[in-house]
Amino acid sequence: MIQQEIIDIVNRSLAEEFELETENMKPEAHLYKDLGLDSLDAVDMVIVLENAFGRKLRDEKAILKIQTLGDLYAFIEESRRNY
Amino acid sequence: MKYDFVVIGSGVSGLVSAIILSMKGNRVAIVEKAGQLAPVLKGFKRCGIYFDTGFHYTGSFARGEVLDTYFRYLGIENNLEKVVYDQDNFDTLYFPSDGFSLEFPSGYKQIRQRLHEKFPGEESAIDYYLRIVEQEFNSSPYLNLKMDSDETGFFSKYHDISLKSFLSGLTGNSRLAAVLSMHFLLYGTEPGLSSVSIHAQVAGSLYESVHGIKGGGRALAEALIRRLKELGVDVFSGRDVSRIVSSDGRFTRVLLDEGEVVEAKGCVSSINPVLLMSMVDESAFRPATRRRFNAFEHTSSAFMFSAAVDHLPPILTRKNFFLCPDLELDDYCSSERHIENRPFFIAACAQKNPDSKQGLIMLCPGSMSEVFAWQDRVPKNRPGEYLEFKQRLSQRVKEHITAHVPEIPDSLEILDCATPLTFRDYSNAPLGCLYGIKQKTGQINPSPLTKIKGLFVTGQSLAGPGILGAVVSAFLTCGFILGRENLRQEIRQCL
Repeated sequence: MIQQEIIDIVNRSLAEEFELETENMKPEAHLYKDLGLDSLDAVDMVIVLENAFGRKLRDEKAILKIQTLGDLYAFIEESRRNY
Repeated sequence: MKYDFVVIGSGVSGLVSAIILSMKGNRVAIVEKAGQLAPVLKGFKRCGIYFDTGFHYTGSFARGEVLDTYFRYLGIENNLEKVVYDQDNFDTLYFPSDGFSLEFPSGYKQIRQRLHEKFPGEESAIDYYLRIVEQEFNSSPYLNLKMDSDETGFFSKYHDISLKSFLSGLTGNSRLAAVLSMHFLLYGTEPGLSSVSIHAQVAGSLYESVHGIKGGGRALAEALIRRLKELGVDVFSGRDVSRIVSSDGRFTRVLLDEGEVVEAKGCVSSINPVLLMSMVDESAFRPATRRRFNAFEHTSSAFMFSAAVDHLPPILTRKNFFLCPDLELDDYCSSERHIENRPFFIAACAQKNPDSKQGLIMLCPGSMSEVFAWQDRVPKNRPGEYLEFKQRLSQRVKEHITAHVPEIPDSLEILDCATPLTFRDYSNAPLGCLYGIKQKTGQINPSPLTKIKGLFVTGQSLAGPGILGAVVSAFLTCGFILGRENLRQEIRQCL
């Protein structure tokens, strides 16, 4: 079970910083195909989420596997457990 | 006239980008704000003596080393004559407060031995430091062309560790830490802020080998410009870019201040990234990216005193001199310091002068806040008070340097003083910063790509500072345009 708080923070940060429409931000939404992000945005996404969650998220292997918003929520949840 | 690429800015990264793109058969134009190309690299003359501004010496330029390889790829190596710096002492670090000095030799083995002699009991810290510098330098595929692939990650361990904390983990000897960190003055980010990685890129190149170029920065500028002309690159100098225009998310043209238009399929900008943001459509960068760019700090600016002496002292013959006021390197660039308490980098001019006078430059950190009162005036129109300010400063520096560096002859005559305004005016750098943006620990620098298709960025220390950093940045950016692995393989043919 992923905490609603994580979902809210991720959605709010990405909507604001990447000008995404909140109604499109569903867990199954693909970051690149559905939300129009690209590899160039990945770096800024990490920095934005680091600031939002107040911890380092620079696990490159895990980041490369993230495809959907749901993957992203799970990645943040996992990083909190390891923190 | 429609070009394949227009390059904005004719510093080293702009010139090299234009050459690479042109060598690949593209029709290229280069736009420069100043009346002549490479205005900083070219240096200047005062009283018949040539002075270098942008280039004094470089690492990794021996035959087969990385800068030499890039220059051979560009086809300029035959027009450059290397000057080998004193292998037993390329840089002297001197602390007048207690007379301590260290003469840096070239080569890891020699440096290791010298440091062991000077710092008994610190052998393991020295060895560990040198090993990490060499390892970090060689882990960059653009500094170590022998690496088979250019795959690197965004994040590395030593990118996230500051030089200061790394060294304090190795040694409690603050003099040793200061000596090992002193070359931060060549990239402008204090040891408490700079990463071990960026330090290793700069210091590591000097630890390999140290060279100047006969004729100095002007000879390098001339070699690059000659190549540019051979390749038929069109030059628009004395033109300021007012706007970079895109349509439907794709770059289309640049507008120049007098209404001229340069149309091209692509654009490489070597403008400072913070300035660039004001010249493009908002859509070029995400809000997150804009915030990241706006948070970049600029490196320190400087005062540079150009002087004549009747003979060049041995301490400046094929070597440089660092006058180090104390061990507080993190405070070295503070404008609160009296000029007498700032560090000075002293170097001889690269050109021999026909008459008996020889030139040298003395460079110390400086801040725009110190010349703030005259910031709105254009160079030829600054009032008498500005000149008096420069004269007073020059007099103090002359007294300070001759008192603390006895080898500098009393004949030292300061001919001119460049201020942060001068650096701003000639390099179009915000606040006159010397080395582009600060390379801080954990900071993620701009990618060569932007959200506007066909618009790329280069230079400005994005990859690294100095001639080597600028050349690497140009190759990195052109790699994104031409295919990174292909370009890198072609460069490797020149190894």
